[in-house]
Amino acid sequence: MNLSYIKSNFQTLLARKDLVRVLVHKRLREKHVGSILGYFWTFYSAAFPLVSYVLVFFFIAKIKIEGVDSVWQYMLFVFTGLLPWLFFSRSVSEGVDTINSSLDLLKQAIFPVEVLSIVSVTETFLAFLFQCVVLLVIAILTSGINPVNLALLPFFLAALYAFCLGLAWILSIIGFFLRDLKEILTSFISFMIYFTPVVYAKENFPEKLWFVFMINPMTHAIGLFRGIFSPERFSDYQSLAVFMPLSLIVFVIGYISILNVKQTIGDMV
Amino acid sequence: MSENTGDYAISVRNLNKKFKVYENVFVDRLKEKFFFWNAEKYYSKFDALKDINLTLKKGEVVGLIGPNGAGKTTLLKILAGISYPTSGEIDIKGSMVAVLALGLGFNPRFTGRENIEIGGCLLGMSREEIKEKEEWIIEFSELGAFIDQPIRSYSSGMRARLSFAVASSVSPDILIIDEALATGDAFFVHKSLGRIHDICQSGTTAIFVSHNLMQIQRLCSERVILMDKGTIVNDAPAMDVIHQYNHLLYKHLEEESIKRRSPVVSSQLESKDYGGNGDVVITEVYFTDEKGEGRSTYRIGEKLSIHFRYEAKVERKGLKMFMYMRNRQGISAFGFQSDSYFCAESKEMRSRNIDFPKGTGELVMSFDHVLITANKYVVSVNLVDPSQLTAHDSDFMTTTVFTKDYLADLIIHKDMDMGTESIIEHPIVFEVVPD
Repeated sequence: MNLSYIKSNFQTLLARKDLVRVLVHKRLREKHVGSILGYFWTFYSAAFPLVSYVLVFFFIAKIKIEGVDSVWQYMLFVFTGLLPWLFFSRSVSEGVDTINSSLDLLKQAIFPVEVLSIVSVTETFLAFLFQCVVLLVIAILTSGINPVNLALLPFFLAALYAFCLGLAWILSIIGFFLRDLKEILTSFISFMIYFTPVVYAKENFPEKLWFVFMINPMTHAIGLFRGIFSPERFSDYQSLAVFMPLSLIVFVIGYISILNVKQTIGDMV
Repeated sequence: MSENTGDYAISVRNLNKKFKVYENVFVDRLKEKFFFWNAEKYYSKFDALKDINLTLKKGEVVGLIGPNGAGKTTLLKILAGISYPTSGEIDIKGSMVAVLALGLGFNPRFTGRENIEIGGCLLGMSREEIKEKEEWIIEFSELGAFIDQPIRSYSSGMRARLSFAVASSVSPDILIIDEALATGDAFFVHKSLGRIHDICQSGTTAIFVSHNLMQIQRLCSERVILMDKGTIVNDAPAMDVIHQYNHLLYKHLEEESIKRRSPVVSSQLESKDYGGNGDVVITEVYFTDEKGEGRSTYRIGEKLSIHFRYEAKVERKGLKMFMYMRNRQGISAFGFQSDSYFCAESKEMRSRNIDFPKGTGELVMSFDHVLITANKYVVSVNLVDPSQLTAHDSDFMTTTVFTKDYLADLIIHKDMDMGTESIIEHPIVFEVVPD
């Protein structure tokens, strides 16, 4: 493992960017071809959990959050937490299976293994971007957004993408060797949302469990995202300081790991 | 080697490939990494390729053949960059495309045109290249207006044509093709082979792997490489290598049968193993050659004796015997009935009933020349009492004294000197008789 190996792999990857584009397009088409609503499913897939969370936590559990009074405000609040969360959980649950579900391709086509996770995460990311546009429109129309915050948005999106991609690479490798990981993750993720400030604010979390809360990277990602989509000036510098370097580290570790096991995977498929 | 460096397309030197075989892939691999000072304990090694040296000149078309497990696919995967060598050097000059499967990445719900894009991209083409070749692909696959229909509505022939057209639209410096590519109807197979031939003529360096020796011979008459057990056994013009390959196959078959010790096929028969009442039981079947030595592999035309060891609990007289030799496809290649057979001694049709005295013994059936096609055979024996057969008696079992199939591993093979595709089954006389 040296720099020239990484470099040559990266160049191969750049040379095959058409492949990524075509495969992402293929995956999008695969999901939506033949369905009546087509690409609008992307919107509904976020709207359904949004409505149910609002019903359960606002009307039934009557959750109290500072600065959130009306149902519309709460809806916007959950929306800003839900979107990064959905992107994350989809990237992870699809990412763990990327190598396993493409064994035929790996066996028979010459292409870099790392492309698989890139394709999977990018496809999910595109849906996330689309949802972000919807969110942005709603936020501007209702509570408004501090325009200065928007300068942070591209950096946050890049960091979240890098974080999820790095994680997807790592999980795809473990998932390839340990088939049980997929089942473990599926239940873990459905349970992890309750330790992530999606339906409640950071302040609602009990002091005693603060540690659990802080090691969850999505706490910081959502903190950042909420800070950006708020009418006040962005102030959550703690989340910024944690998430930005973390995403870079995860990305680099993921990339190096996938390059490392490339040869082993090539032998085993 | 040194005089022709420079104009080679592929150069492989001292290539070795070892596979680590783990019992439990995840646990043993982890142990290997953690207890690295004792890593060897957690896997066994398997040599897939041993010291391969190979140089392909630019524009050379080479066939690669060998029995299963010879290392052909491993070598291709390493050349293609899917797998990596354990040691050794590989130098490849120019762009390379490997067609290891047809219709890769195709989605049946997408249209032909969309699938062209996906398939082409997976083969390493850029989108511009695919756009350029699209018209050619549509024309070659003869799909016409169907190209904008989802390919699930295609017939299998149409799908095969499209996937071949996509695969053969590539124009790299080096082309690697695994297994028989030409499929579809006879006309399209012809067209496909023509296309492969054209690619080879166009100066592309190509490696073909196939079990179809006819195709190999046609496409790569100049040079064929024979691999066995991870090494290159021969590297010469097609005719020589193909002969050697046939010889090798025959040797493998023989080794296999010796390993299983099967000139004698014996079994502790239990009553449920056979049909019939068990008065007479065939306990063993074995084969001997002209010297009376037991073996299971015979050339077409050799003398073969089949020995049936029997055990008669009571004396049975006037039994009728049926014997069939069926090949691996289940087709009967030879049938014998004791009530009407061609007797070698008297050269006429004879009918004989067989008497088994009480006790054990052997029934020997000899062929001066075994004249059935090369294959592996299963021997079935039936003993029937014709006196109990009445016109109304349809219950076969009541009259059957014994019936059983023997997985006898009788191997009949072609003589090596007969060439590759010649099969001589029966002595045939034919002549032109003018009016």
